[in-house]
This record gives sequence, C-alpha cells and structure tokens, in this order.
Amino acid sequence: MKKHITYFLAQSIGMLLLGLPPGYAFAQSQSMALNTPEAAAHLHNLQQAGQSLKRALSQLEQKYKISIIARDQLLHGKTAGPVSTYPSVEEALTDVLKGSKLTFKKIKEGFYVVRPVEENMPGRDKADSLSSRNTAAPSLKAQRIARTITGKVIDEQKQGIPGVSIVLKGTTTGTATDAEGNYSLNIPEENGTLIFSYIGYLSQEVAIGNQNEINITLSPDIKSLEEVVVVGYGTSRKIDLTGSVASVKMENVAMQPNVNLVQSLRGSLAGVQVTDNGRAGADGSIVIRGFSSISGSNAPLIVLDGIPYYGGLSDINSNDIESIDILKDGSSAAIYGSRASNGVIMITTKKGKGDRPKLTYSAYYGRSDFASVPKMMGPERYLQLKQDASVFTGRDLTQLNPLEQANFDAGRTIDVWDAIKQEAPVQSHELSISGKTNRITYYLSGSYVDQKSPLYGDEFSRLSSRLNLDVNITDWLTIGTNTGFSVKDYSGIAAEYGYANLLSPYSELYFEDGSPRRLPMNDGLGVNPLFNTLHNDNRDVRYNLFSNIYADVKLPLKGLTYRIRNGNTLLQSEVFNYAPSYNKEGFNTLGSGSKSHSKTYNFLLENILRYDKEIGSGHNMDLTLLYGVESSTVNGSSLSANNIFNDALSYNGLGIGENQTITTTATESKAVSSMARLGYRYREKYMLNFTVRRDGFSAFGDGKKFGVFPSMGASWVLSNENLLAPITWLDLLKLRFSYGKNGNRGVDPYASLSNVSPVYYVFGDGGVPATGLNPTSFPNPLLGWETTLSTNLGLDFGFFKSRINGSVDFYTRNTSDLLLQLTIPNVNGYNQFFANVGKMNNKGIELTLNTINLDTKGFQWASSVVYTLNRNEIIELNGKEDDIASRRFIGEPLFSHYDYLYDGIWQKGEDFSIDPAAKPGYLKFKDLNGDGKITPEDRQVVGTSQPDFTWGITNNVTYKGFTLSFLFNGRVGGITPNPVINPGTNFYDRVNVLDLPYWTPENPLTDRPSVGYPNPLGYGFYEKRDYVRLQDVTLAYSLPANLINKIRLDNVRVYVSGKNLKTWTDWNGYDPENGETTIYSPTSGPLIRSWVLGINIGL
Amino acid sequence: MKNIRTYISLCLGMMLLCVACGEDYLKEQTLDRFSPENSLVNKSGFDAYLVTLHRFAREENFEDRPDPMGNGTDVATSGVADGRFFTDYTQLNSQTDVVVSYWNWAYAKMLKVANLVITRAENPNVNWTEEEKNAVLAEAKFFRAYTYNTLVNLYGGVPIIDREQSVPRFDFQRATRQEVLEFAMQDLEFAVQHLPVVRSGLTSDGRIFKAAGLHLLTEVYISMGRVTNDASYYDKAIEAATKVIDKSAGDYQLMTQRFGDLQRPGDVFSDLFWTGQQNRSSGNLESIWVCQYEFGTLGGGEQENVTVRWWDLSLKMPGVPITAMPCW
Repeated sequence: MKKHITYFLAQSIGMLLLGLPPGYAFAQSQSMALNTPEAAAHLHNLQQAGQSLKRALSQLEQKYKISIIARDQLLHGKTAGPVSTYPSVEEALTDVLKGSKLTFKKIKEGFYVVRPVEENMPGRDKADSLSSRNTAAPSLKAQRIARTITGKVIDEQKQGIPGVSIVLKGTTTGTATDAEGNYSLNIPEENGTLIFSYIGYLSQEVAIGNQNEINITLSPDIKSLEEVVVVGYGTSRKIDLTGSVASVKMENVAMQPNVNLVQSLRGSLAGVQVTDNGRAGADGSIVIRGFSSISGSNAPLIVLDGIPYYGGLSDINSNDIESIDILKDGSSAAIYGSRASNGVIMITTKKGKGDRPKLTYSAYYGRSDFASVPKMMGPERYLQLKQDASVFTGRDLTQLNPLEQANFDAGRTIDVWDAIKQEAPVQSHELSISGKTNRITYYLSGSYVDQKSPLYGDEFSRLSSRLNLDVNITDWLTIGTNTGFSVKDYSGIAAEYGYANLLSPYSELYFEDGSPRRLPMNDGLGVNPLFNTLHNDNRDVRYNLFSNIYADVKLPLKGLTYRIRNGNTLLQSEVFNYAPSYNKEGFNTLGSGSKSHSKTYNFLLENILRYDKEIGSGHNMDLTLLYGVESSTVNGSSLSANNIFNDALSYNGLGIGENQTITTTATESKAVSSMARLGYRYREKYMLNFTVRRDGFSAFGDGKKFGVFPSMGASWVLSNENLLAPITWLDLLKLRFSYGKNGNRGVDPYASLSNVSPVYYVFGDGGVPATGLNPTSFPNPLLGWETTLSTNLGLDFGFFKSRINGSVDFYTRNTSDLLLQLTIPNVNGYNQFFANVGKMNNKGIELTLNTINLDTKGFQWASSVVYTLNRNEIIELNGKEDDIASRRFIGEPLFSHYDYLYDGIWQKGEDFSIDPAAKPGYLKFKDLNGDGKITPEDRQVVGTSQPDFTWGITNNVTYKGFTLSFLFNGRVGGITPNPVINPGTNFYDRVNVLDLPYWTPENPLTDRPSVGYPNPLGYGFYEKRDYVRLQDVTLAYSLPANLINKIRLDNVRVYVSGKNLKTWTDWNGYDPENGETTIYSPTSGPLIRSWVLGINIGL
Repeated sequence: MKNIRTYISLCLGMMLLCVACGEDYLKEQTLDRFSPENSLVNKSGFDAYLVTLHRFAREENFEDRPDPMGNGTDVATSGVADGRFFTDYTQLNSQTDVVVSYWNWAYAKMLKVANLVITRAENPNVNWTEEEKNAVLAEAKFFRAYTYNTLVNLYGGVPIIDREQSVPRFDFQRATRQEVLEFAMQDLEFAVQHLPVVRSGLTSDGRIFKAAGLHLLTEVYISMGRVTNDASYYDKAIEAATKVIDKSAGDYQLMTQRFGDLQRPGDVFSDLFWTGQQNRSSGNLESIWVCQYEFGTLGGGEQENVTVRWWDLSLKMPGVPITAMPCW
C-alpha cells in the first residue's frame, strides 16, 4: 500500500489505516466517524448509554488535535469518566485510561498508541486470533504450507513492537506480532517477500530466502505523517507555514523526459513562469511572480541542500531530487534576504530510507523532432514574391543569383528547415543505491543522459554522480555531506537556424564533393546555417563539483542544536573553437582558433544555532540564529590566434598562428550574512514568524554594502477552532499573511567601479598592436540594494476528505531603488549609469486547485489546476518622465510596446491625405491626435509582451496498475513584435520570407501589407502570444507484484511519455512561449517534441 | 554543567569570531581590470589612453553606416532609394542614426577619454617629468580640439565639457558656436607648443605632430574669423599654415615625383593612396596625419575600413557581384 501524503493529520492517519489488517480500528475523530451511517448510529447509541472510552478518546483527539490509535477489541465495552481540562495531553490520556488496564505510548508529537498494560496483556491469544484468517485460508490447501518463519520486531530502542502487520507480499497470508513483538507465520514453500508494517513506522520488505528466523528493526516514519516543506535553514510542516510555498512532488514528474530539472517546473506551478528555449541541455529561465527588476537580475536564488547554488540546473540529475520547494512570498524568502526578492527555489536531494538497501535503475530512450517550424515560401511562391515585389515597387525584377538560377534550371529545390534537421535520439540511464543502517544514511547514484536535438549539431550529454551521506557518530553529533559531480558536454556547433528563415528554396548548401558552401545562394545575407557546424571544431565541456559538508551538534541543553556547514562549488569550463582555413567561393582565410578556460570557486561557511522549546502546554517556539560568510572567485584565461597555416592540430595548434592574444579575467565577490528567526506556534491554530537578516555584499559602493531585511508572517488555522472543527466536510481552512522586505543584489562584481577595457591600434605599416585603455562604465559609489516589499495574503482549503483542496494567494510586491541602467545624456561621456532609481510594482493572484474527480473501485481521476495572474507596472523612473528610448513608461508594464496604432491596409481609391507617402498595400495608422497627419506624436503604448494570465491543468487517471497523466498549459494575452511577419522589409528582394499571404492589387487583403512594403515608420508587426499546449503526456504501468516477485524484483514500472506534443496558437514565430523574434542570431528556437519509452526497476 | 558552558561558549565564540570580519572583508579590489586610479600613474599609463584616442579617431569613419557623409549627396547615392538607407537630408531629426552616432562618437568616446587624460594629468602624484606631461597634454588637447571642431561644424554650438565628469549631470547647456571654437583654439594653441616636430620611424607613423596641430588650428582660426568677423584670425590662420608650408614644423612637401611601387600604373597622385604608401616611412612626405589600418592584425581595423570594404575590389571575391558581400 502506497502511503499517500496529504495536507493534514486526520486525513493522513485515515489513509494510513487502510494499510492495517482487519480487526483494527481506532478511536476515530468525530468527523471521520460520522462519515458512515453505521458509525453515526453507533455513536448515537454510545451517547445514549453514557461516556464510552472510545468516545472519550475521540474527544481528546478533538481537543488536543492529536491522533490516538487503538485496537477495537481493547476499547470494547470500556468506559471512562467525563473529559475535563488537563495541563498536558499525557496527563489527559493517563486520566482517561485510568482503570481500563490500558496504557499509551507516544510515537511522536501528536501521535499516541493505546495498548494494554504489559502484565495483563493477553499477548498470545491476541496474536492467535489475529492470525486466524491466516490459518483459515491455508487450511484449504494445507499441503502447500511448507515451513514456519518466526522472529521479533523491535523499535530503535530495542523494544518489541506489538501489533505489527506481517504479510507475505502479493498474498493474503499474514499475521501480527504479539505483545513482545514476536511473530510466527506459516508460508508456502516458494520464496517470497515479507512486508512488515505498522502505523507511524516505515514499512519494510524482506526477502525470505532460506531464512527461518527474521528479526526486524522498524524505524519511525517521521516525514510520512505530514507533509513537510523545506523553508530555508530548516523544514516546516506545511500546516505551520505562514508564507506562500509551492512544492513539486518529484514522483509526479519522474516519468517525463526532462533532461533538465527546470522542465519539471514548467506549466504546473502557480506563480512560476518557466521558459524553455528549445535547445539541447539548455537551462531555461525562471521568473517568480513577475519581473521585479529592470537592469538587475530577475533570476530566483537557487538553494541546493541548503547552500546557495550557482551552477546550472542542468547540472543536476532530476532523479536525484527528492523535492523542490519554491518560496514565493516576502517572508518565506526573507530568510535569504539579500538575494530573495526574486523568490527562492529550494532543491533537496534524496536521502536513504529503510533498512534494506534499495537499488533502483531508471532508463528511457526516445526520439524527438521540432515541435513546429516556421513555414517559409516554397519555390513557386518565392518566385511569385519577386514578381509581385517588382510590380509593387516599380523596380526591375530581382534576378535569381547565379547559383539559384542554376538550381532553378536544373529543377532542384530544398526545404531549408528539413536540411538542417538531424536524427534526434534521447536516452537516459540512472542507477542508485540507498538505504539506512543504524547510524548511517546513504544515497549513491550515477547517471548518464545523451540528447541530440533535432537541430543539426545541437547535442548534449551529461554524466553525473552523487553521494549523500549522514553518519550519526554519537547521540549528539552527526556529520554528513551532499556531494554531486557532473560533466556536461555541449560540444559541437548547432546549425544557425536563424538563416534557415532567409535562404532561398533554390539554395545549394553543399558542393559536389559534399563540403558545405558558405554562401549557398551567392548572397552575403544568406549564410549557410550548416557552414560553421560542418566546417568548424568546437569543444564545450563544463564540470561542476558541488560539495557540502555539515556537522550537527546537539548541545546539552534540550532543544538546542548547532550546525556548522561548509559549502564548496567548483565550476570549470573549457570552450575551444577552431575555424579551419577556407579558400573557396572567393574567400581566402587561414585557420583561426581560441582556447578558453574558466574556473569559478564558491565558498560558504555558516554557523546555525537553533533552539526549540515548548513553553507551557501547546505553546511552542523556535529560534534560529545564523552567521555566515561567502565568497565567489572567477578566474579565466583565453588564448587565441589567427593566420594558422596548418589545420592539423585544430585549436591545439594556436602556437603556430599569428596575432596571438591572451585575455585574462578574474573577479571576486564576497558577502557576509547574519540572520535571526523567531517562530511561535500554538496548537496548530496560530503561527507567527519573525525574521531579520543583515547582509553585506562587496559589489556595492562603499557605505552601501550592508542592507537589513526584516519580515513577519502569521497564519491562523480556522478549521482547528472549536467553532469550525465539527463541520465534517471541512478539512482545512487556513489564513496566511506575510509581509517582508527582500533585497536584490543581482549585479556583477565591480559594477560600482569605473571599469577599463583594453583596445588596440597599430602604428606604422607592419607594426605591432599598441594597447590602449578605455573606461567603459561610470563609477557609482552610491550603488546599493534594490529592495522589494512584499505582502502576501493566502488561504489554504481542503474539503470533503481532501477530495478538493488547494490554495489562493493574493500578493503585491513593491520594488524600490531599482537597479537601473539609467539612460543619461551621453554628454557625460557615458550613455548609461548604473544606479538605484525608480519603483516598480507587481501584484497578482495565484490559484491552485487539486481535486479528485472520480474515485471508484480502483479507478481514480485526479486533477490539478493552476492559475497565475500578474500585473506589472512601472511606478517611477528617473524623474517622472517616460523613457521612450528604452520603452519604459510610468504606469505601464515592463516590456511595453510604443508604436503607431494599426488601422488596416491602405486600399486603392482611399483618401491618403493623412499619410501622403503611403500607397495601396501600405499599413494604415490611426491619426490619434487628429492633426491630419501621421507623426511620431501618434504613437502610444499598444501593449506588452507580458501575459494577462497563464494556466495549467494536470490530470492523473489511475486504474489498476495503469496511470495516465497529461498536462495542458497556456497563456492568454500579451503581444510581441514579430518582424519576420512583415513580408519583406528586410531585403525581400534578396532573401526568403515567411509563407504568409500578402496584399497585391489583384488580391487586396485588408490585414496584410504588400510584399516590398518598406515600413517607413518602423512599425513593430505585433502578434498575440496566446497559446494552449499539450505539454506532457505519460502512460505508465506498474507490473503486478506477484509477477515481479517471481523474478526477485521489488517493483517494475514501464512508461511511455511525450513532451510538447501539440500547440494551438496564432503566433507565427518559433514558439509563443519563448516569443523569440530575432532574425539573425536567435537564442531561442522551436521547441523539441519528444516521445520516450522508459522503465524503472527497483530491487 | 561545566560541559554545557564549554559547548555554548565554543559555539558562540565561533560565531563572534566571524562577526569580527566586516567592512574590510567586503572591500573590493579589481583583479582583472584597470581603473583610472591604478593606470593613470605614469607616462606609459597615460600613453595607453592616447592610443585609445587614436583608435576612436579612426572609428569616426565607421560610426554607424558608411552612408552618413556621402550617401544622398552629390558624392554617391543608394541604388535602393526606398528608405532602407538614409539619403534624405530633409528628414534629419534628433533620432536619425547619423545624428546620434556622430554625437555619441564625440562625447561618449573622444571627449570622455581626452577629458579623463587632461583631468587626471593634474594629479601631483603622477610619476613623470614636466616635459612628458606636456607631451601627453598636447596630444590629448589636439584630439579634444579635433572633436569640438567636428562637433561645431556638424551641430553648431554644443555643450563644452572640459573635465572628467564625476557624477552624471542632466543640466547641459549649449555653448555658442564662438565659445566652442575658442575652446578648441585654446587647446590647439597649447598643443602646437608642445607637440613634437615630425620624425620618421615605425612608431611615429600615425602619430600627431606639430604640423597636424597647426593645420587644424588654421581651420579653427578661419572659422573664428567668420564667426567673430575679426580679420586678425585670418592672419593667424595664414601664420599657422605657413609654418607647415615653410617646413618650420617639419619636412613636408607636395609629392611631385612618383614613389613607392613604380611598376604600378598610375601617377603620383594615385601613389599617395596605395596601401603601404601613405605613411612617411614609405617616402610619402605629403601626408600630415594618417589614420592607420593594418590588414589581419589585432587593432588593425580592417573591419572599420569602410572605403576598402565597399569600394576596393582588390578585397572582393572575384566574379561575385557586389551585392553578395557581407554587409557591415
């Protein structure tokens, strides 16, 4: 039975109990008991008869918000006095159980098991009666009972645990332990696996093999009892949270072909916008709750196993991840004050669980293709376009270039997007071993991913390994590490697909000998997208060693712990390039190349002191103090040379070249932090949190290096109030409020100083380069923190036994002292000045709704809907004026577009007086100020690239061993200029254009201009970026246990999964999500559609 | 109990130990780049900034597109007269690329560096002789005057910036045309006193000599004469130009005999412009200031040599029409 983890206690207990053998019940909380008519009637009877023990325990559960577990037989017929008020739960239980010959044991905070007082315990009888179903069933086929297994089940304190369920896996054969924890079970001759389970403990599975005696130690399952989220310098139960935290359950995304961890966040989390650029192994970009900075960084802080992480997310093997928690609001993020204004992504890697070593092998293999590519003019349309352009512009027909003409004559055409495609397999293999012994917890993994994107030359592979180890040396000292290493190989040059949009269908990409042409259509604008790919050498390998070592010391004062943590990250990269000599097509160049090495080392040392204390009954407080230092050092060097006369050694032959240059880079930045957090909880009803963090960062100006970031959060669990507690359909209602100030230090080292770069000049014929120095930035000794004040109001809810649950959050984020590259009069000597100027606001709504739509007889359909709405507004720039040059307007969102207002297409016979230069087929604009002319004053803000809202729906359908999940997502609103849809401003007479209709005198369209429209006003050609995408589909099947047990495996799951399967959009660019519109060297392109077949095997 | 105290004081002690590092720990030192403070400390440091001025002066010819000063005039016009190239001077406004690019070249390149050099030369801690200082100042002031002379002829009266700016300003005012010319004139009058007399040799080709200063000063005097209607400026102009003509500012002469590669067809005028025959070291005594281009060399600027890239067919691919050249 897979344990389901839900938001709150009663529910999780209910679910867990489903795993207990029959004959067990528990003192159900009232809300549970009333769910069946029988129970309601029973309760009614009890109330008539007087106070039963069961009823009394139920009242205690309500009163103290605890869970009490007891066998039905134990409580049967027993009574108790009235329940009064006690100073503690323990005293209450002692009083209520008094005289019933029962006692209790506290498993953990809030969980108690009622059991008989030792000496009176009718142990053997109980065990016999429990195993009666065992003896009944086998009696029918007694001949198969071959042997008896005996043993003892103990807890970590070496105490026997009574009532542990022991079942032969895949059968109904089972028993339970007696009062001392002993058991005896008859099993058939075949080998099998025994499952030991008991509420509050981790289940264990043991292969029987030849053993006749199996002794087991069960360890308490702390985490399964309630959902825990990682909140920075610790964890928190979800119920105790005051802020807004989005969590990703990695098990849900484990079967998607996500080469990069980022992809698993895409489209399924409210308030988190992930953009995929479609390239192999690329790190996508993440923006949380809108853009808060203009010139500073908008990237969230990534914290890996507690340490700020500076590598790429593509360095991390997704299978190593246990959980991802995203701190969205000001107060949760405040714990990382100085860098938290863009939110914090907390990534936690796996730890070993369970006594038995667990070996897991996961693999997938698949194929991919472009999700969609721009449709270019085919041969006929291309020629027609030249004709039409000639008619429209009145100029001579542009002739085909010689090479084009030759292909035209020979009837040869190409589809350029087809020509730059390659076979695109993707495969991944991962092996991990994890487990837990008395004092050691371990997780060891290795993985290999190899991906080719459909774009020729775009390849990625990653080799990674991880060791997570905890050693509990004494009862007061634990030392551990999280260490990961990865090698990412991006070698090879991807085809320059921007050029695929320009090349004529009569191009010829290759010479007859198969080598690539540089200018496949004899035109300098139309470069062969494959030339560099096929002709040049490239090696691009990045190494990442991330190691974090910590020691936890329990100090001799109860509740006081000290942790010292040292994080080390070493990132190295090698980027080598070589362009061999080329002497065709009139070019005559010798080889040139470069070798660049870069090394980044980050060091972090943190001291954390934590104190937990229960003050009086139900009052809990915790205090965390932190002091830490951090440094980051980057060192790099680059060698280059040209005029290399022999290509044999490629980039390793730079020494024989001329113009050898050496570039060295080195930067260092440092930070110091101190932080205090005080938390207070009262009986899972009221929670309060105060945090203050003081951070210093070296890159800011003298006197501005330190910033102080306070915050507070409060939450109130309404459903735990006496008034609402009896409402049975209401599981959870919780209000959260938080307010906090965060900083953004997203500036590069030396940003506040005047930087000087070298320039070169040569005096005299045949002279050597003389080096000059050029100051490139205006120093700003006053450069300091950008700060964001965030307010968050959230509501968590759960209804009908969690059939419906979710949360709504409202937030505002006011950013001031924006880090802004201010445009200044260049009379100053510089065009820009990096300063803290201006204000920006983000406000929004986030909704997450999880529902179980159908749940009958093994068939379940669950869905999760997320909705994100963010409104971004620039409140203030330098002074009160709009910055038109940078397209920034007070009161408008960032990335606004300022342009003429499109008003259709000029047609023959219309009155051209407002735009005398126009002719039929030109774009018509509105004369906004009514002066009878189209002038720059007729421009206005016409829209923004930011969406109105985005949404995602994940559906999970399970039936027997099958699981089908599919994720739709989309965006609504937002326009982006897409210059490629203009039929030919950009050299329509020389290169190809998108295959879209255009105006002609014969076919006077009303929504598209003529080919050859010169766009005299530089209009932006905006397109909507709305889309709906079927992003992920996964069908998985878990093989039945009795089948895989025969081959001595633990679990086997096979799946087929697809990504970016279908997109519905009117956007004519590569992809509406990344909105890339750059023509010549785009950084994002068409997305990759892939299908994979995968398998997970557990041993 | 004793143990507890040891523990706690140990831990707190460690935390306090780290508190001890503070402001000093965060002090920033540039590791891989120079700053004006650490580079403008001696003659060779100042010389590096002068190299930059030479480089920027060359970039004037490549500030945006090759069309600004010729296309659309009687020199040349674009064959594609549909708005893709700037040709119509009636359409000039403050956002026109040409207008922006010359302004940017002047203020954000030339004047920025020239003013930095001139301002920082006042620093008494610079390790140099008075003679070295004046030589540096003379060259920097020549470039500053050169820039203002260009500005005043393109834009009329422009803001005069005479120093390095320490904080951004937003209150610049146009000076009058006369004030700008006077400012340039003063710079040049200083420069011609301290610029060296021409000499041949590898490292001096392309440098600024007294004759260049006098030539530019002549231009400025003429402009001053026209602005002020003071005829004495014309006398000064004649005086300055005469020093160049009568060889008192160095051995200059109009070339009258063919020189350089005599195998080449042509005349003495064409000899002046062949690659490798423009500098004095090649025997060309007519050139006063030569912008340096060196093909295939770092800083050689062949990419910026618009003239060669666009109109010199020697660099073109044989047999390929001009439209097939890579553009900018």
